[in-house]
Amino acid sequence: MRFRPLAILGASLALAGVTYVGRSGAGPLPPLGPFLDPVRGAWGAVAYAALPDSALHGIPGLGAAVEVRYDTRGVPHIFAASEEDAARALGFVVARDRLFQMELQARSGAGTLTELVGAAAVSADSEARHLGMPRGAEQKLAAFPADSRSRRLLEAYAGGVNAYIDGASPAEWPVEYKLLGRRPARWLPLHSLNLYASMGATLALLNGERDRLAARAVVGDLAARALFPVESPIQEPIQPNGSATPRLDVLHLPPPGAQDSAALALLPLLPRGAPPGDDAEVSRHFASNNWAVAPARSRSGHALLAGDPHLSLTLPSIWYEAHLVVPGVLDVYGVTIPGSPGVVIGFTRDVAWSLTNTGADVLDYYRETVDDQASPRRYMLDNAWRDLERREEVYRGKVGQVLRVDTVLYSHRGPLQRLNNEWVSMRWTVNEPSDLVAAFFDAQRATTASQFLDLFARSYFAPAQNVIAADRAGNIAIRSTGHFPLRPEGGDGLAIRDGSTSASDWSGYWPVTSYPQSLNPAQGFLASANQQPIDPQQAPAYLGYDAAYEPWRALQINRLLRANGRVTLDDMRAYQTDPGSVRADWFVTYFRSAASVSLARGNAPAALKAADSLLAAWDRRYTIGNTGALLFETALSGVARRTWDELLPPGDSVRAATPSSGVLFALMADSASVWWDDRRTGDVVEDRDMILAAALASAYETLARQHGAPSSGKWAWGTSATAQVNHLLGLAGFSARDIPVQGGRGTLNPSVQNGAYGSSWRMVVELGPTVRALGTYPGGQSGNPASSRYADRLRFWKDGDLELLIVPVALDSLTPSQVQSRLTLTPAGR
Amino acid sequence: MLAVGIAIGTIMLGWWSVPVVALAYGVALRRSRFPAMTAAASGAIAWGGYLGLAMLGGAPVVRFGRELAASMQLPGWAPFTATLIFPAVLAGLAAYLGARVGGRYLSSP
Repeated sequence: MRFRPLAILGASLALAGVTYVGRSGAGPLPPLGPFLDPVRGAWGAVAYAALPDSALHGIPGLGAAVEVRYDTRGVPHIFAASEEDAARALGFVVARDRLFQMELQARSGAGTLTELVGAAAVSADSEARHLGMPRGAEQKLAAFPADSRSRRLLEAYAGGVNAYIDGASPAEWPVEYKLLGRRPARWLPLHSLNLYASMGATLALLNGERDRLAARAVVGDLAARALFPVESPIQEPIQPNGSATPRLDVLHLPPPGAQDSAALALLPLLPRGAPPGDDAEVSRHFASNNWAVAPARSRSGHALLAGDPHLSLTLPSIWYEAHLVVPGVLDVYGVTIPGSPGVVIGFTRDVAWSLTNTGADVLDYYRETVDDQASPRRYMLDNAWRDLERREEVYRGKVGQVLRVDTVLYSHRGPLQRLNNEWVSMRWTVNEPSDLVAAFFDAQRATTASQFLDLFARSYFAPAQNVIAADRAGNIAIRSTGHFPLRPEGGDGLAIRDGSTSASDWSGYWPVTSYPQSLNPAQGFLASANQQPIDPQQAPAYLGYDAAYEPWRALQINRLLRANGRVTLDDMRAYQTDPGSVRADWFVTYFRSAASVSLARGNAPAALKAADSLLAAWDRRYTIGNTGALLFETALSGVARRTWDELLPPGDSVRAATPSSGVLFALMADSASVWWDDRRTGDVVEDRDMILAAALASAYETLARQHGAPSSGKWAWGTSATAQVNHLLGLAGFSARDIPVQGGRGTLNPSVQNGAYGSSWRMVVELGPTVRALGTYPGGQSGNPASSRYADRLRFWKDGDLELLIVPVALDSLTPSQVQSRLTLTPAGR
Repeated sequence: MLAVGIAIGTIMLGWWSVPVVALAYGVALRRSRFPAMTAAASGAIAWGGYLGLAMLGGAPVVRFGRELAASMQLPGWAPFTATLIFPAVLAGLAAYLGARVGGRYLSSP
């Protein structure tokens, strides 16, 4: 070939360019070489999509060989000789299926997402660090004695995860690492605690202080207290109060007062949450249900238990199903959160349990007096200066480069935040030293429901959970469990306290005997669905506030359970997606009454008559093809918009805060309240019926404009209430979107209209001589999008179906047809 | 043969082996008529063939490729095309350079 210098130069440059892009990527492109490599790159996902028929791995630190059998649903049954070996094996199998998810979720709690996904996560990381979450996790770990069982379990779990990482070739790494140009980080015991902190932030970072303060700024203190009450106006508490029907407490709403300039000044001191939407009520994304039925009310004569925690719907799912067996010590089946060394919700041969969020107020703010507003080093406490702890926070990028450095200050209460010219510290139970590992592992040894609750309460701290349990002897029990602060003078947690005196500090925590709880109530069932845990007429102590609770789902499940004296496991399953709604039943009555009043006056628009007819025909169920539900929800949003106009700050189009739908319902009893008047219609003073009728007619007109006539089929609930099960990184191709689901706000399957939250695990258990359980979740066991186990359960989940769970009593009790894959883990490296 | 060599190199050493094997090929077969085109085709065949074999073995290559493309906001064919073009370009350029430079310095009189 002839020598052509220019051509060679060009080819050299081109090769260098292609090689550079291959090695380092360009712009949004990942490094193309390792990414496209058909063996080790993204395509590697397809080679590892299926579990091998059998595999053998050595794990350092194992005491004895562990046998794992994956059943036909991809659930690993782990047979180990000790708890530590079981935890080590659990770490291995969870990492094998969910490695990227584990790291992502732990980093979310550690505030180190930037090291995985880059600078885009700086604000999320900053929030975690300024909430004190990484420091809290470090302090918790440091508080474990080196030889404590929890520490050993955390270390064993980490050892299992790292054994998987060490033995996995790059081809086996999850595809997300290849898209991000990263490799898996080693797992530390601290990461499990980071994960708990992340869950704590999800479930216990409630900000009632801000809502009430925001309302106070706009309508004054008296009205704000009434709009954002401590006690829910609708009472059917978790701890049964002896009443067979819900109680509606009269709510006296004083007229809107003047703007409160002091509150306006204080408002910036509190972190801003999600902006209140233009919706009918507080946007409650996270909800959960659990209930238990005593043998006297079950057809089989055995206790029944159901649980479905509602969280973000993600692929892979937040939960991972597993069965841990240590003969004579542990035999527990259920779901674990990848990164947590134990089963969180599940059952043993004797006891089943589930959790819902209590919504307790476990976060308080303190206005601190500091020595220097610009750069404080000390804060005042009881007339003496105390040093602030300074913690430098370094945010690093994917290759270790420093993206940002800031300092978080700590008082003895917790982290300080500077907002405007004030310094506010916070104390939050999520950051307090605690041992969640012990809570779960201890409780799983219980043989009765009450023993389970006692063992759980001994170590469990936060986020507070309504723990329901049922046992083989037929007992059912529930307890709102967590650490609930004792505040000075029995005050509530809705004020910013003076930080300059220790008299403002918590003086301890509630004794367990004071927790809301019940054992074998006369009614024969127990249920929690995030409603107020205890009737304030029975126990007036402050636990939380109305806006953090939700009454409607509890009303519905109690209604269903009261109506059925012979409940079956299949009834329990069907109830989990029951489309009925007490909320709709109660509000629709008022809508129809208002429509008839307005129609009788003779000047009602045609749309009102049509809308009223549609509501009259509506069965008040949120089924997929239902046309009434969309009209009702749109109308109720309109009512909130017109009613709570007083909460619009001057010149703003977004409400400062939105009272709960319980408060809105309580207001219905006062048809002439000044709150009904829409001040934007200056020449008319509206009453309740005028607002309801106008909102209903307007909703009809809006929907007709958007979708055509109701008969067009486009008003069907399933066209607007769809589930969005998004990939953890939001990657469209790995997500399952626009899934029509039955259920709506206030139903037991509370689809809110952005659809990204919902029932994340559904389980029903019958505790007979042989435990019988059904379950499913919206996803699949594998985190590998190429795997048939990635989203295989979605088809069950969307239809409200459950799968029979295989619960072998011993390794050899699994039939060959039940086994999909075998894994043997052996001690190595000793 | 070159495709097999590139495939084996990729399996054993990773993507870096594509230009290395192609460069060696270009030097060794510098007198052949189209070393760059041959190498490019071999690169594509090597990587594409690997995926093809995986498909024949039941791996969900097509479905995953489409989902991967959607996740990167690319058309469904993009990952497949990129997996063929990238080794082809690498191999073609390396073989071209090998042949040209080898021809300059290693040609016998």
